Amino acid sequence: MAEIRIENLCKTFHGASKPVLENISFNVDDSRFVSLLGPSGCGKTTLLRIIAGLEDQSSGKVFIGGRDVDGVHPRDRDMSFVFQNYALYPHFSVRDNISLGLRLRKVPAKEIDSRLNRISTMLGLESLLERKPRALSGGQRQRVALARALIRNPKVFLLDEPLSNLDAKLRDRTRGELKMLFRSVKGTVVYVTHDQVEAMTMSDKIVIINEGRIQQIGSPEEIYDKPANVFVAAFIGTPQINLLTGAQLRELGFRTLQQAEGKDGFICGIRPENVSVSGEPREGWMKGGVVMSEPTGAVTILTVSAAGAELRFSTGLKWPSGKSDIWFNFETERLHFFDPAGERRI
Amino acid sequence: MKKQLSKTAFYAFMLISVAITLFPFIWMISTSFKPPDEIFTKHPSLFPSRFTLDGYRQLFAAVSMWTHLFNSVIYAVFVTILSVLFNSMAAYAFAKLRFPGREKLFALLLVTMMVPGQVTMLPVFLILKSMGLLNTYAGLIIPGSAAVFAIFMIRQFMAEIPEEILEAARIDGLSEFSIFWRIILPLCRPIIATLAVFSFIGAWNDFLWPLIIMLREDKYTLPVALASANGQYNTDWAFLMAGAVVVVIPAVLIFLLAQKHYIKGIAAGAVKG
Repeated sequence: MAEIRIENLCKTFHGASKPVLENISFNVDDSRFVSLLGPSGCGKTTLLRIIAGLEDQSSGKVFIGGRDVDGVHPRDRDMSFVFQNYALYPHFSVRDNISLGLRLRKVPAKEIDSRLNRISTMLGLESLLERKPRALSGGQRQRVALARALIRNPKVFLLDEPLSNLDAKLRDRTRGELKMLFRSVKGTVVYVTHDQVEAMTMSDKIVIINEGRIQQIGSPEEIYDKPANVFVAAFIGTPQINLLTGAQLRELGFRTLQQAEGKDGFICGIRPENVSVSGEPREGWMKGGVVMSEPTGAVTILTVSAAGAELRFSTGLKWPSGKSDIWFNFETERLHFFDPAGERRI
Repeated sequence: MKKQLSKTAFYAFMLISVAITLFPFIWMISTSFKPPDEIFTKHPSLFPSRFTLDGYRQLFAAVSMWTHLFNSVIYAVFVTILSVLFNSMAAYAFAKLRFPGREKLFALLLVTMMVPGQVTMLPVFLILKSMGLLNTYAGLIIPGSAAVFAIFMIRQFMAEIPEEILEAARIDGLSEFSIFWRIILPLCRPIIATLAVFSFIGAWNDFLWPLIIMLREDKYTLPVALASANGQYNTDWAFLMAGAVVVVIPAVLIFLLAQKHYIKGIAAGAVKG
């Protein structure tokens, strides 16, 4: 079937000293939705373009459906690609934009028509078929780009930040629609994004990349609950995870198991929502001062200064504005520990 | 009030400019319809008092004029078609294809723009002579069917087309030539229309090159033929002006037809989108 396998992929651009991708290996199982997530410039789009055949790898292998696709032309890889800027043909009507790929593959006109009807109904494009792309809104263009990808029934869909040009509201809605859409066509999807919310909500599996290297591969829950290193812990989750050294923890007066054993060299991470807070002093809790409170509706984000560190807590409590003193405690079983370099979870 | 005044002054200035520009044309057209005695009068009038088509009758009575007209059409049409084809293909290669030495080659090409055409005229003439292409349409047309300036203009225009569109076309299954033919060329229509007008009018009005390369009278283009009809001792002005009108008409028509794209092409690069 249409699983994708990447083996030891490396890429160095011509004339560049540093590789953009180093030793990348992962699998995408058939009909699964996998996100490549990372900050801009981490190499995730290059990786996607190599899978598509738009870029050559320096070394390593790409298998699509068990076939080594090295040297296979993009049109023969049985995949569709959705570009960030959609890349519609400006001088073609929506109909021609969507159906060009089928016409070039000599699909009979009747078949093209029926597929076009089905896809355009599915994406709500029926009334727009004769328009040119410039007469469409951003959301409509995005759907045309999707229709162009879907109509060929490829084994694999490659999407490069398809939602990043939409406004926030439309993006929220489209996220869910996309997930349902690809589930219904049973497509194998590789989805590039720098938006952790997109990756968390849509994916079966997330591959986190930074500076050309895979940081962690796992389900959204694994990535969130068991970050493999400090980069992953800090990259996923808003507000960002609080990171404290052993010394800072001791200064706060917080005792952990490791410290009880006399070890101090580690970095401790605690997510803002895994903190209990109170406006009254509590036995054994730590004390800090509220620097800023940001109510977002359901939760309030508190920026707290304690023991020379700036911490962020998110709480369901309504925090009275102007109130400074705060007492807080960490949920011990939700602490994350990393080695001092921040490269490994311990 | 002040605004009104400056507007009036502006329009007056424009009117005078237009009158100065148009006067030679009006004079040409008017002369072509005048009988000889009105042309050689002491007090010439702007419009003929006796309207005659004698100039045109004589022009088209001379059988050779049809031959010259034909030569001109062949020259202008083929130079236009070939230059659009070759220049846009070269521009595509320089704008969108990756090959070693691309930038250096392009810089070299730009440098040749510094060399005046008159300098290369003689060598080109000698080359064509040694190839036996004097007095042939091929010799007339081929040197004009590629121009560095046009390649440069089209390349700049093509560079603005997002790479992703070509990649999308590649994934859709278009061949490299189809990408050029079906995606790139249609998107470059404004600039290509502009350059087509340039090269048509350039070839149509060209005098020096056809004069050099076409030595036999039956191979003269219209401007060369008209110039040779301008006798040393006497000149039939009505005949000559009728010829000039015939030369000007296609240029004006072409411009009007392509005007919509033409303006877009000239404004291209200035305004994005």
